[in-house]
Amino acid sequence: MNVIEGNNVSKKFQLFHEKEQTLRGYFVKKFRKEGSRRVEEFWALKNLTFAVQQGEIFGIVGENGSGKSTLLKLICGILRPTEGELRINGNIAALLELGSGFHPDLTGRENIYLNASIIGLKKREIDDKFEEIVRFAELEKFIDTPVKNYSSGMFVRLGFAVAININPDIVLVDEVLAVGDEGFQKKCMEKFNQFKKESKTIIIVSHGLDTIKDLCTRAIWLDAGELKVEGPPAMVVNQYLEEVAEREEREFKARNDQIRKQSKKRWGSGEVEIRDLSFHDKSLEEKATFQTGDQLFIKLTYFADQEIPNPVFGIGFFRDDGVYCYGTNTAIDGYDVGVVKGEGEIWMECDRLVMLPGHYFLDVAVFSADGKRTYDLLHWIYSFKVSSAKLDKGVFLQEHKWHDSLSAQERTEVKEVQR
Amino acid sequence: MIEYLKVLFNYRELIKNFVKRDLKVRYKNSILGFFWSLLSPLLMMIILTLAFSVILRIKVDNYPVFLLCAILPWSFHSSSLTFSAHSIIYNDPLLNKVYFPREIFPISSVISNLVNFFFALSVLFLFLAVFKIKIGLAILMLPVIIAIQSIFILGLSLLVSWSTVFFRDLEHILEVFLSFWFYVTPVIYPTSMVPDRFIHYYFLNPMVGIIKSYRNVLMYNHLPALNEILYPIIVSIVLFYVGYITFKKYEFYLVERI
Repeated sequence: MNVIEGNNVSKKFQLFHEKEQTLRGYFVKKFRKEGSRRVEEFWALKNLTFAVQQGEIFGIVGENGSGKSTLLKLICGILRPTEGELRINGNIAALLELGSGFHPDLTGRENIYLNASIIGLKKREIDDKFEEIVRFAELEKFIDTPVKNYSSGMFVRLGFAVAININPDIVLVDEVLAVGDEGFQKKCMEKFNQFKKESKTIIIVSHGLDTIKDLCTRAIWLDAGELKVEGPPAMVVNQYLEEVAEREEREFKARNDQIRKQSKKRWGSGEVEIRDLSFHDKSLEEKATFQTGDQLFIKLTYFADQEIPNPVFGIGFFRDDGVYCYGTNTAIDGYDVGVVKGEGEIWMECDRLVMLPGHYFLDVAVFSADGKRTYDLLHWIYSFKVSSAKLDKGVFLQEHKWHDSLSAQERTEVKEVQR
Repeated sequence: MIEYLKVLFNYRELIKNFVKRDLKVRYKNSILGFFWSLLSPLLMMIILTLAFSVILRIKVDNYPVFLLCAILPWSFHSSSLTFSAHSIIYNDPLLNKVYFPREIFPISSVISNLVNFFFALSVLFLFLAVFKIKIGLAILMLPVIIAIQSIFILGLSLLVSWSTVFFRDLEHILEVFLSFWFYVTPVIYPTSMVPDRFIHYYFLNPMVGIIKSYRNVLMYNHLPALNEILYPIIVSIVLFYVGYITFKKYEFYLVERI
């Protein structure tokens, strides 16, 4: 039996760019006859045809803005399709924004009755389930306290307990299986499995793709409001992941090309291309802000079309006011890069960062071995910040000591240290 | 229309709970609690008696009771409309979470004000006794008049509640309009003081017939005059129908426009 059946479901939203929810705005527009000009139409869902059978655990994946929430709202009846038909058989428990129907000034008890009647229960039915709801939410002691005094965990637990204990035919879950502490989560999963056994229909929307793979029996992938793939969850999730990775790669390329186009910031012949650069701390975690004296790693990712013997990688540090603080390259340091081809990375390790607080920009470049040809140069694109608790002034931290007088002996000691 | 009312009947439990919530929340954080619903019309009565009976010297017997008979239905009227205008915007979080017929918001606002009105009526009966005004058989018509006024208010509330979502200015306009309406309704003066040349236009206001009928059954032991009450009845039914149909027409745009 199909509990949910959608035929060519489409949903259009109107985006109002100007606030025209005032009478004046309305009349002004009527008179100028430009009412339609500022309204933009947006199809959140386009021609969606699908069916969910009783007992299925149905997963929906898709990027933000792909229409997942719109679909859930259509299924709950909060929205109506602009075109097409959506049929629902059975009552629904929607685990969306738990507890949003609670009134802060009312007690837990009063809110249970209010919330359960919103879902459509009669008083007698609520009376029957009341004990169980309170027990499930573990709120026996606080049930006559106004919910504004509840902790956020108690609040969510109560919302979940009400929604899940009304014996629905269809359960909608939107990223909320991870509520409360571990014990409560375990209880939720038990309830969930019980629903499974009772062959209730469950619809899950999640960014946790593993959840979808593990729990669902079937899944769909929504892409910009359209159904892209439908089938076994593992297949759908894998295809979705592939596409997301591809998309990210494409976006990355587009961004790089754009940077190259802004010729003032990047130039070069392109045989070796600098793909990315990132800053890392001593545990190799990526960071953008460091302290004077910290250990700093700079990771440079490159890509070479063809075999290039011994390219020279160089990095220059500039303070944001243009002061050229330091510059070096692999040739100066006598570091042999070897022959490069394809994607690779090179790391620069700075033991102690000597720069004083400020915003530092980098020139990053890769040259031919003889230094005559610039393969790629990125000017002031990457930057990091330095902060410090000390008040030293200037560009870099000069190592130093203070003395009231230096005896001959102390001076020799210092000399020895220097040697 | 009948279908809508049937569905609504299935949601009676929810309406009951919304009304309970409204009443509880309204008085929960005040010391005098629900006595405010009795106290505020009394205070208004005292102020208006001072202004219009003592200072402006309107000649009406038992002026405080005369006032109270009109103030109570009037505050039922004005606070219902004000509450309904806010009801949908105020319940925004619920609107986005679950579906139930949206007219429940304005309807339960009106009902909670009706409950308040009932409490306040008990004070009125106390005053009737104090002023030694005898209650006659005409009082049996009181429920009918309350029913007519309630239908009138429901119709208006349905209209006001959805249109406020689309035009937020209405909240402010409503406030001004209600104070205008107050003065063209015989709350502080008897209709006999209205100049003859205006009287036909005057009775176009349905509240005139309704307030007069309240006074007739409560103070004077008269049945409501048919020519006075027929017009409000017709207006109420038409308004209720129009209000309900337009509400249902725009119901699903509310959540998108809020």
